[in-house]
Amino acid sequence: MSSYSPIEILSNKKVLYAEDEEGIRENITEVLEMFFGQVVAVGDGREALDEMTLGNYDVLIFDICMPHLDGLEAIKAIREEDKKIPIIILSAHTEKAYLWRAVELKITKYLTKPYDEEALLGALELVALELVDNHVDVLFSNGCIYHTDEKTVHREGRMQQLSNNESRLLEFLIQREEQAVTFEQIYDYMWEFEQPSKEAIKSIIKELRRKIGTECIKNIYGIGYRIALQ
Amino acid sequence: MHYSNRKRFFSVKSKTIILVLVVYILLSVVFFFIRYLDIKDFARADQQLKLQRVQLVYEETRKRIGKFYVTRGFANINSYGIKQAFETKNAKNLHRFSLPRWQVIVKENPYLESFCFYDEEGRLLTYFGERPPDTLLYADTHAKGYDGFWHDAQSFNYHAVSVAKDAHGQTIGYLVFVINPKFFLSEINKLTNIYAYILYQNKENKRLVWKLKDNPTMDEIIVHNQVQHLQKITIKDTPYISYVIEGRGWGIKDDFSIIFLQDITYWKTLLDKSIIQSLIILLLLIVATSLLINYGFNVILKELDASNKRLRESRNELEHLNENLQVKIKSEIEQKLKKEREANEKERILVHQSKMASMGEMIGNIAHQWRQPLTQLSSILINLKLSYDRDKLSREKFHKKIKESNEQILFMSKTIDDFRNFFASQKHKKRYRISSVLHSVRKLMGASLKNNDIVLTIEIEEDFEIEGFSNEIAQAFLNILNNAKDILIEREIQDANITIKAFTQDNRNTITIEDNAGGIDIDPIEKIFEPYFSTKHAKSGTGIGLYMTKTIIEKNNHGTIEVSNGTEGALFTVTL
Repeated sequence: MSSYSPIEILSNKKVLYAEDEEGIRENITEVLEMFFGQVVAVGDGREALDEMTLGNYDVLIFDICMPHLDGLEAIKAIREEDKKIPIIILSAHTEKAYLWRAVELKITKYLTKPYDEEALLGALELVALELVDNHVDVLFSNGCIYHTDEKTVHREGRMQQLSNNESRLLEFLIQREEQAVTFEQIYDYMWEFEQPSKEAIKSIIKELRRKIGTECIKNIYGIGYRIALQ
Repeated sequence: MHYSNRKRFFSVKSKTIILVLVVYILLSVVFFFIRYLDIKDFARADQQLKLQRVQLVYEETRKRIGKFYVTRGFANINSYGIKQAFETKNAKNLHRFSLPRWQVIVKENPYLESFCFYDEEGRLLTYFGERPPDTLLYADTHAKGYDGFWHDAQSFNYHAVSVAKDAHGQTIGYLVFVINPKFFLSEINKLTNIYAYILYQNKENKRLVWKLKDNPTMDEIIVHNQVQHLQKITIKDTPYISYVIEGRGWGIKDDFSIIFLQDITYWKTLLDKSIIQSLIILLLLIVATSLLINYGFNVILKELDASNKRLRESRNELEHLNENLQVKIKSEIEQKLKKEREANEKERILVHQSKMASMGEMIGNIAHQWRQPLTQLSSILINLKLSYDRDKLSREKFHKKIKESNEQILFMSKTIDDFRNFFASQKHKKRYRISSVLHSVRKLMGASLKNNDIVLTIEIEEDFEIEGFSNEIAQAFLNILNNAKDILIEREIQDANITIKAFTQDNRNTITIEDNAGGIDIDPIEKIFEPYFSTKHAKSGTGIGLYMTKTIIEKNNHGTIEVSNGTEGALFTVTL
């Protein structure tokens, strides 16, 4: 096994962090930036919801007590659209009522303030594992293995490093195993504002096929792609 | 003292009884005497009446009979042949012509003894009935007809004389009716029911007695005794009283008496009876009075004894009470002191509980206040460590983070000071501005409210000065704010807010605290100030917060606190 921690899975992921206390927000953002590919920090629940409409976040980290719209209310709204996205709550509240509400919202981890490094990293690790459905290593139909933490592919004794875009797309496809992923879905997830051509996707797919094996990423004509796992 | 004591009882009672009895007896004697006199008077009046009646009857009878027979005599004289017979002294004719008349008259009166004719010389011509005296001794002494008792040696009778005269007025003879004195007795008897006697005593002391009925004992008296008028005579135990009516004869001096005796047994028995009656009544009265007085005395004495006993009892009770009073007072005082101590102890416990509750709440507030800096500190530490681990910790970043940390530590230290100041007990009253209290309240509660998304607005219209214990007042407000906060959270109020206003109204320093939690649903609403009254769930409510608030404001700071429901929620109005 590699010396990598599952937390490395997050290195190509995008996180939305909501916290109204500036001092805390700054520090935690700096910490999160060490693990995530991209960190967006907002000051309250309403901003968080606005940010969510852009829609390509992999993980949410929310405080509960925020002005305008509290964290739990924001999460409730988000959960109506997205049932899978892993969520961490960082809250000063220890009251049972809050915990119960959190349970209903399928929260990955509920951290109470103040938290230490271990608790925070533990939570991040849990989120990371959840993102890969607890499989750090993915075995493809042709026997090729993808290490989600290292973002590397082992094929016939050779190891190849995947670029950020490659790993992001690959993991997006792996998450939607056994289902056709449309070009639109890929656009939305991979790019926020600019609308690249179909060629951009095709070039990433081409490179992935070269590294993993063509048979592992199937073309679904006119729709998109589908991953073939073992 | 015992009233039933024999000696005393007897002397008092018997004295009274004797006195009353003497009075009774005296009265009875007087009454009896009056009654006796009455009876005597009655008897005398009765006797007088009887006498008068007899007298009347006698006199009336005499008048009537005299007139009657004189008239009869004249009628006879004037009837056919009588005058001629008188003139001619023809006794035979007189007898013959007068016979029918005699026959009628004798039937009318059984006491008519004889009917006689005398000539002008008083010689007897003829007669009917008993033989009369041969000569009419009193003839020619009267001009007209006359009547009266006439007596001579042999007889004593009543005579009614009519004088016969010729045409020249010359007396030609006398016509006399002789009537037995018994006739009068009979009349008296008939009209008065009295048997009387007529007693005549002539010159030779010969007594003649006429009577209607034989009564040997009575006869004896009449015959042998010189009967005086109104003389009391007792015969065979029967008392009589005698009456004598003096009659006057005619032509001679000898008088006669009509005597009758009245049986006065009735009066005597009446007197006796009255005496006996009086005695019996007296006796009965004496007995009744004695009994009554005795009974009355007994009752009174019994009552006296009873009341005496009660008096003694109440006196004993009083003594007992007096004896016990001190003990009672002592124990009462002890009990009162004990109760006071207990109350004080209760109050102390309450104050303590309140303080503990406040402290609990304060610790909650401190936790809120500290959570943010603590979290920031921990975030900084995590940041530093991870940065260092990744060799990304620049010198600038390190110093920046240290500075940041110090700021947070300072803030925490300040917070602790605030709370410590709040809990430090204030020994003396001091003057303070309401704004200072309200701002310290905001300092203490701010984080807690903010963490619960509650907006606290403080509007100071007039920053008045108050003298007192500012910490206590702050605690009072904190209690109200805590309640407002709890209810706002419990009811999940959107846009929760609490507004505190300070102003002066009618010269009173007024502070209002209003929330928008919808108000207090308790009737009467003042109940919220009672100790141990809580609507909160057991974990958060001790039920003394508002009680302490009221105590602090009203007792310790001489203010007032009222609660009502405003437009949006509970409204507390405090005046200081």
